[in-house]
Amino acid sequence: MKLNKKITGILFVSGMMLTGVTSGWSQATLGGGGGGETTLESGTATQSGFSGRNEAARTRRNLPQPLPDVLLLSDLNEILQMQGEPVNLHLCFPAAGMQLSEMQLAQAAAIGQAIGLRVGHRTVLVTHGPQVREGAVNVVVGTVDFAGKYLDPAARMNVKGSFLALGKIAGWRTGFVMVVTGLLPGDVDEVILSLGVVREKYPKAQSAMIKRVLLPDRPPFLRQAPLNTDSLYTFKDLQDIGTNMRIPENGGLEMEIFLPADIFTEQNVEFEFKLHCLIGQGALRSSGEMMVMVGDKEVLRKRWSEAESLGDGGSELVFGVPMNHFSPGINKVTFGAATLDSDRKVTSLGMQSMNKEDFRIYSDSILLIPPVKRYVPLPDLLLTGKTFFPFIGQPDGSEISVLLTEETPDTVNAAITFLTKAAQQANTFFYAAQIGYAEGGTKRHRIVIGTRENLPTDIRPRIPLTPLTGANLQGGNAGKDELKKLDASSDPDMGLLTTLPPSTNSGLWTLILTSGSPASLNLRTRELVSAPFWDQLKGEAAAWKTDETLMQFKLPGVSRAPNTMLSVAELPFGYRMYFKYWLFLVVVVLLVFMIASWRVLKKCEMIYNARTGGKA
Amino acid sequence: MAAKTKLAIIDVPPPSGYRGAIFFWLLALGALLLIACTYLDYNAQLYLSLGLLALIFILKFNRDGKVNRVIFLTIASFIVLRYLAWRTFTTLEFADWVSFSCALVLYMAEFYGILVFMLGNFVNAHPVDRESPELSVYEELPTVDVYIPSYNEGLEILEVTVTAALQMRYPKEKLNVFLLDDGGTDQKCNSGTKETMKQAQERRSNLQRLCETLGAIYMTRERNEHAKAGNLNAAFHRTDGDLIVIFDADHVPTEDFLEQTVGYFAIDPKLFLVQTPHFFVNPDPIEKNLETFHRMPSENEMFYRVIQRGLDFWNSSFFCGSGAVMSRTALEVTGGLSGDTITEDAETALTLHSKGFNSVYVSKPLLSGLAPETMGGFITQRIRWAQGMVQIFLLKCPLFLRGLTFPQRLCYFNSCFFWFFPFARIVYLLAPIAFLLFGLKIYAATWQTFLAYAVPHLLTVITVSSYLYGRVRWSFVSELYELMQSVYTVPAIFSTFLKPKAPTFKVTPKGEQLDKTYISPLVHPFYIFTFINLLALGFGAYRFIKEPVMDYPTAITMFWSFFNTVILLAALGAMLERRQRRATPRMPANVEAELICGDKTFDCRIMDMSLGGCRMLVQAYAERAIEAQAGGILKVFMGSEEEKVEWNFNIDFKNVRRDIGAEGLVVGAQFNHQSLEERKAKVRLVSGNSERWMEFQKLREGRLGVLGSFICLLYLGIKHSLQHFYHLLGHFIGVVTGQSRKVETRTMGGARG
Repeated sequence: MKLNKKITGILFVSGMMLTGVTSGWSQATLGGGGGGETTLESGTATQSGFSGRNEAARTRRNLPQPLPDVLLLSDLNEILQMQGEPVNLHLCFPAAGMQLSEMQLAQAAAIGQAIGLRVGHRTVLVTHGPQVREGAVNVVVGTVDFAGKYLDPAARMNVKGSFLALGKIAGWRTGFVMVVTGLLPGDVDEVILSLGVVREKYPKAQSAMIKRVLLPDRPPFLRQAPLNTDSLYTFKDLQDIGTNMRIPENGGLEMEIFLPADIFTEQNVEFEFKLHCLIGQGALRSSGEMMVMVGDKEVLRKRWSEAESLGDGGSELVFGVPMNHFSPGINKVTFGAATLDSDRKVTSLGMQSMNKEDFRIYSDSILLIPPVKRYVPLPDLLLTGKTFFPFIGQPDGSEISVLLTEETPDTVNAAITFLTKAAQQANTFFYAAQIGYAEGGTKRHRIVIGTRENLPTDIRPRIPLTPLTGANLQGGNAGKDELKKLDASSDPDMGLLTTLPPSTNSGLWTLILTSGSPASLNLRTRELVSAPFWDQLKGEAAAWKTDETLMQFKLPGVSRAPNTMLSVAELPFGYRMYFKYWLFLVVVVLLVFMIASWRVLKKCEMIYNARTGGKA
Repeated sequence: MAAKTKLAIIDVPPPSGYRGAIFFWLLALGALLLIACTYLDYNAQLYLSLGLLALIFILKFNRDGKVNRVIFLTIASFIVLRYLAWRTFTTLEFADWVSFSCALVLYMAEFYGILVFMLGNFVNAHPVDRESPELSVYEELPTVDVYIPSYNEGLEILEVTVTAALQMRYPKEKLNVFLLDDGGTDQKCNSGTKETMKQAQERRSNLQRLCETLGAIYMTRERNEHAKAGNLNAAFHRTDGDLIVIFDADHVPTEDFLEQTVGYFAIDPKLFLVQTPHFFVNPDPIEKNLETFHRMPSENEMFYRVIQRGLDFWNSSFFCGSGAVMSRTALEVTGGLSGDTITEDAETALTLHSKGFNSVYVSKPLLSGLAPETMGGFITQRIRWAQGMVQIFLLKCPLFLRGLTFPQRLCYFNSCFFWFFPFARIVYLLAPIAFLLFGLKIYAATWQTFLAYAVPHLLTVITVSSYLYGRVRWSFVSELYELMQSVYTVPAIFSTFLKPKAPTFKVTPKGEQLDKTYISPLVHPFYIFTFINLLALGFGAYRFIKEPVMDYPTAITMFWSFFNTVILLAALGAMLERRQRRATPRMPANVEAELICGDKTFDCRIMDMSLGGCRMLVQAYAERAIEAQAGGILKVFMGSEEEKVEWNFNIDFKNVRRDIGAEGLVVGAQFNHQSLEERKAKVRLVSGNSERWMEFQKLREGRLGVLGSFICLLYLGIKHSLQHFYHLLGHFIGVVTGQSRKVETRTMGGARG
């Protein structure tokens, strides 16, 4: 099941306020600058739609902020970002009980992703049910017959097609409700698509009618497209393709560049940043150097004096950052003034706080990516965790088929939570992915989510149910003894994430997320999508439970073959034992059976001899 | 009737601990089943299977030790149970209703196969060979009545059987031979058309004359009621011999038949049956049409040389309708032979076993009979057997019949349940087609799990089959025979299920001669199956290339389909009914003799002979003398050095040739008997010696190996199916040119089988 849409082109949002038409990425939110260029201004990123991170929200992200009295659709992203970390997303299907149909499942997955893409990289934990829940971001989904009860009567009368509304419920201290509805199920799909693909702001109203959603012929990355090698991008270009940029409170520039999975990060190749900037007097006074950080690590610094003066009053600083500091996926790059220690000789790693007006970077600054080798990497969880490679070929997820092995609410919650994370990491909205309780298309990558005992038979033997021990085992921060305790096979509550290579030359991979029961699966998934767990992902398989420091991984290495004697035999009635003990048990039972058979034969031989007088 | 007092029934209690041993065994079986249901990842299962397979391959080489046999069969059973558990719990996936239904049917067919395999292991756990006890002193010997039931068999066939029965070594005063004629009953002589009445009357008078001449007793009855069982029961109530011997009309006993069988009754007072194997001197239609009679063990040898011996150990060997000695005392308990089903023989044995009587099986061939010559006759016979055994399964239900011991229940259940094979066989034939042609998901497994579970299972089944039956059954021959029967027995079994009491006894035609080679009219379903299989293989190849994602399942299923195609090609070859002019089949011999030709005598050796004639190897210089004469006298010496018997046979020379590499002349001759004594002597010479039949069986023994058997089957399939199509082409050309070949079949006479 996938969202029933094959549309290209433009989004029309009509109704209360919006009449504008836009396509593609949000327009530049840069301030004016010399030569027709614009400069990035503090606070403008909050207008940049999708993944903009409100700095204030960022500092307060762990706690939900009080919401304004009137919730406007135009402020949807801000409202979402005012929720705490993690974002508790509750999907309310008034027409369903706790079990979702395949159509509702597809809608739920799409909404999860849409919200996930609107809250940046914050963790989204999804639940669902027939009622709304206080304290959560509630999305009520269904046709107006069912979801209409969450609308006021006047608004309900206005529902003629696709309809989206935002509001608070009286008496709630936190949390709000978004109603995704329409006359027909197709209308509901339309709204969901708009949530996922539209980067333009909704109208300044509490509700809006949506005429239709048109998508381009070639599915784009709906949040941020990966950068190509051998390319030159101005910072404006980068913004246009969805790169998130913002000005931190202490000045400078922070940007997230998204590199493809198949890029070969070589040490002797450099990414060249040519910063067209305006350096204020305050900056020159307070610090003599500017530094570049990739992630949280300082990689380069330059003196202001090295800046080449340009005719327009600005300067150009060139940074050649070795490529091996980057990795596939999202890389946070920060430019800012470096702080010096007291004797002014050794710099600290921190950015110096300075006035934003003292340091401006123009949007015609350039990122030059040289030609580097592209290759087909061997997928592992590190790469999957960062880019969702190899499951994303087409950005619309049309190469994925998601199979839920059971219909329990916990499994559904786990699946939607996981897919939301996947969409965030892949920076796109999988509106064309198939999702269901039965096997989908055979020509798609498979994502299988469910309990171990219900995994398809072709998969069960291939997942490393055996303990993740041996030379190819690595634990987070744990010693070997602790790892033994966390045996993925003997502890049914452990979570297991693994990628399986294609068993044929189809090139189709399988990703499996599993645990012993639906409840533990949901619990483990909620853990997994949080940064402490997710950021550790690597290798062929990962197993975890509760403590991120005890997370363990199976890495391709010296001993790839599992130790068969340590594999687990699953006996009837839910009993389990190590294969070596089971083998011993088999020998005993076979011996007993042989002795029993021999006894029967001897007794019957006695009868035979008695009646024939001979010897058998 | 001095012996009658000895046949009183005495209850012998089972030895102490017998029931406990059975209970313990059942518990151990439960544990084995439980542990076989363990789920392992495929790597662990693969290692386990490889280890166990290696063990059974080693054990396979020692077939004699009892302990070894128990270990071998236990391990093999465990591998198969592991497969069954895996198949049950992990390979049945719901994709859609059609696929799931097909998957379920295939699973049931496999389940059937595995159950029969397990029961077969039980039955054949300890096959026994017996040393025949010596006969008692003359006074204590029981009187014996020999019943030869007849319906429409020819005079020539009956003459031979009656003659041989009268020549069995036994005191003449204690032996009576009855020819029970159902073709000349009062009902037949006095009703029907004028022609049929006349035929019946002529038959009656001819047979009366024959019996009078030979010294047998002609017996008929008023009405033809209850077929063969009714005929035998009618005689049973009109005779009084202590023991009753039953021979089908075409079953010619050897001289030592009674010497080898009667002695058992003096040892076991509760004995009701001594059964002997049915040895056929002519090929069945499949052997004949594929030309395998002289090099491949006959189909029935697996049953008579292995399974009946296995059943004998469990006191479950059963009556096969002929070649058996039965106790009157026991039969009086049931009032004669049972007649609720059309396999009265097995039914009677089941009833008497349930009443506490015992049976014995003597594995030495003590009679020679005729297999049905045509495919039609063969199928008719098998339909009757299948229907009869299914009737017993439904009406008597051996698993729950009171009075049987636990092993007897399993043995009889196995004997009846086996006859459901046609369903399984048809499913095995169609299942790969369902996948290759229609893409139905009938078997959910990866190649890794298939390798870990299914391949060891298949290897085990083949190895066990070779271990238990390899001497008398080449691999995959069962598949051919079963497939050929299945197409026609499925509807018959189905109808028996719907109306268990409806089937009626149909006489198997025997002694047919075929004047011309022709294609059996039963061939049409095999054309269809072959065409569909080839089509499926073509589709499979296409799928293999176009859908690389499914390459392993496709390749495995294609191999399966290829195997089915090979069997089907062999079946098509067997459907080309070959000309058979010889009325009496010739069997190999090695008898020293003298040929008197005019006034000269030459040493010679009889190389083969039949009731019609023989082939001799004569000294080369006799050529001129033989060519000068139309016939001669064949002087044969039989018996030991001390007690040599000399027989003279008048013969007519038919052909003389000098074979390359032969020691002398090869002379073909026809018996031209001049007297009754000469005819009797000929029957003794040709059919009286059980050692000769044993030697012939040994001649065909030999293990071909799994691969060898498959290659042989492939060769036979290709060769004979090509001949089939060549013949078909010739037929079409004949039709087009107006010179159509006419199919002629001539029945020399029929006998019941």
